[in-house]
Amino acid sequence: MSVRAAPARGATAPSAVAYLRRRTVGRAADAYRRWIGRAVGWWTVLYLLFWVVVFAVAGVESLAPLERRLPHPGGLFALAGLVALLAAGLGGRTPPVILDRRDLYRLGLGPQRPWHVLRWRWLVKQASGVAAALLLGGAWSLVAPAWFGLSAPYAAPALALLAWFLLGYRWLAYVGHPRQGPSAERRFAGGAFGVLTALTVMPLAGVATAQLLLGGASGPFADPLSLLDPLGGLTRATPLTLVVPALLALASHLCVRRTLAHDWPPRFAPQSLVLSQVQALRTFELMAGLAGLGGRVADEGEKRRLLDALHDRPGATRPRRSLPLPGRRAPQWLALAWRTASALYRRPLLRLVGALVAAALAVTSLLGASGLGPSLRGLAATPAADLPAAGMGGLLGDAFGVLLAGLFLARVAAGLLGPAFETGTRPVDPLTRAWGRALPALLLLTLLVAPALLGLRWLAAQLGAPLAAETLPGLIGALTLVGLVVLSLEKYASWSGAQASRWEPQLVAALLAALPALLLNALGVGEWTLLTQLLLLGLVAILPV
Amino acid sequence: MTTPSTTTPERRPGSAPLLRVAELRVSLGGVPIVEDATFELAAGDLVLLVGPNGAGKSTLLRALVGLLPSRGDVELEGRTAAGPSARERFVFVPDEPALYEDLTLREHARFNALVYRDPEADERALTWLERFGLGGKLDEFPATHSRGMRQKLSLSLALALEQPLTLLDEPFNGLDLAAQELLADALRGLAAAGGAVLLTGHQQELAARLAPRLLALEDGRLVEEEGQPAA
Repeated sequence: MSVRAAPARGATAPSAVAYLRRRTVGRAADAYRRWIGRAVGWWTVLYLLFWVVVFAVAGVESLAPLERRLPHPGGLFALAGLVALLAAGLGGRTPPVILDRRDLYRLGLGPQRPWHVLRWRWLVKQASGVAAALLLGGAWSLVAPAWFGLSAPYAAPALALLAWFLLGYRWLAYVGHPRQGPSAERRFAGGAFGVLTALTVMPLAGVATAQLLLGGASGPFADPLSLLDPLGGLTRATPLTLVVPALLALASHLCVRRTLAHDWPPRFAPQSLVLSQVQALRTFELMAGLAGLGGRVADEGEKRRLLDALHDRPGATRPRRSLPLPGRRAPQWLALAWRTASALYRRPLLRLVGALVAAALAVTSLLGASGLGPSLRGLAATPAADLPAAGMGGLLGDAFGVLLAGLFLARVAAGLLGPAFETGTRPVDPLTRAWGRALPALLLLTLLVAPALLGLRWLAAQLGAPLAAETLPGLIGALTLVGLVVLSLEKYASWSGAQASRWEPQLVAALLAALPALLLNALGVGEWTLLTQLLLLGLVAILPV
Repeated sequence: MTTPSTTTPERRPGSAPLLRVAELRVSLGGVPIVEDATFELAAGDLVLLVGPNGAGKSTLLRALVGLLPSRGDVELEGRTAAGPSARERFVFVPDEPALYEDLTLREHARFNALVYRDPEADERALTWLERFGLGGKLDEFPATHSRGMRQKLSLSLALALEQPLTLLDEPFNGLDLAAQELLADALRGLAAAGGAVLLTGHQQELAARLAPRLLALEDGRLVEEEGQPAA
């Protein structure tokens, strides 16, 4: 054995990559085809395709010219173009195209030209963007004459070229980002990004200004501007509108190849490694969803940790924030409640706020459905005696409102139950599990009742409408519904093995909560609703599943 | 006995450093994992990087090959290790085999040789697969194989390249005893042939078996330890 001598310098041939793609792409496609056949079924796919075609044809045939044409959309298009460029520029912290783990280890670390290695992934990404742009452009070509009085036969190729350009533009924003550190490639990419930005922003800003602020495309600068407008293909019927998009696409493509001629951007390999794991989790979720296993099967915490690692944020190695640990002799239910509450508390701040807002809205809708909101019938000057009883009337009208509000609440509560807890062989009885997991959600939703009630009162005062039900029975009814929805969601999800985030357990929880109102109202004994709800809650609470 | 890594280790007379690492720092989410690691590897070095679980051994190896962002200097034969020319001169074996599910073992060998533009590496990889007992499975996909068999394939591909620098992350994991002996012999042979080998592990018996130079990671800091006498 002897170690290898230094190889002669020279251009690396793409033969290894070609060999790999020749063998793997066809086999992967075949495996995918077989998987679709098994998991979804080709007849199902054909059936769906048939209806897509039927809807598309029906949509085209139903297009009729408007009596009064809509205003010229050129300004809005230019504005949208500017926003797209801005978003691409701001997204420069992460690569738009990545290598998976195997390509990274076997090719990325090997002596291959980066462009040869990345080319396949690049083409796949680009093809999906171009296909979407062709569809969008085609649809616009059909709609524009009928609604806007514009002929835009070149919209599809123009948008496709711009989609091509946009991927390259995003890559240049990535390579030219200051976080890449000093290098010749970064300087080149930064320069190219700046030039392309100037070439696209100036005409777009000009068109947006002329159309939106000056009220039309007239004036001495209108024609030159429209010639340079990258989005001119959407509003004009000349093939000349393809020149600028084609030049932009070509320029960005050449620049991208230049940045990948010799070496990878310094942050590409680490980021690719993390993003490939995130992508694998998402693919797993998608495939699990297609196979009917539910949406959020991947570990949310793991995904969050990976994204923190990607951006070198503190959450990568340790939690952002922690709740105090329960005592060593704390009961099991408290340990489970702590686990759920910690999962909620460790969410990024924005998601935490979003969950709180959603919970507040869900509680408000439930209070409204319980008759604690302004009565719409009251607004219609209905005599007070005719107002509906608690649990059946209010803002949403009737028992169907309770069902809808219950469904909304179940959807929100699914995000508040935290990670699933398989009791399996663990010495935890189902009642302890259910109460432990549901407690944080129950507490939070109960605490939100007061502000929601105040909000509804304020709304009623503003509208000058009476409340649909008395406060105390309405409040008891609403709290009973909260308990019913949360507990039945937890119990059904644990019993059936379905994720709480799926529609099925949520629908079951909402139906169970609305069942007394739906049935008793139909039987004409609506006044028994509250009592039945309380009894049902007691039954669900002690049910050992 | 340990000596801080900041003192340059004694080099063999006449052997230029193949890998030079100076003040390498790696942090994750603001938390330092490896701090100021400084060491050199010369041709013929067989170095075992030891440390308890979570000490940062894999992190250090990944940073060396550019899979983790780091600060400090890493030079291979006098050139930046993450650069294109350096990629011709080392091979890295990750702890979890990175294999293509759609390539057979034989195709992996060919592909590996093509990537590194070394036609003979194809035959050598097949020879290593024979030695590891996978000769009868050359036309099978690795997806159907056990963790240990996949590790054997991953190691065969790396050993076949006979690169000046071979980096292996926990290479003995999942291997049976015979394969462990074979790998230990292979690594000793690689070093004897003038290559440098850096591998991670935390088994004491491994250090005794390989009798290598030891680098230990303790609380993110690298210290050099004396190797144990050959068993």
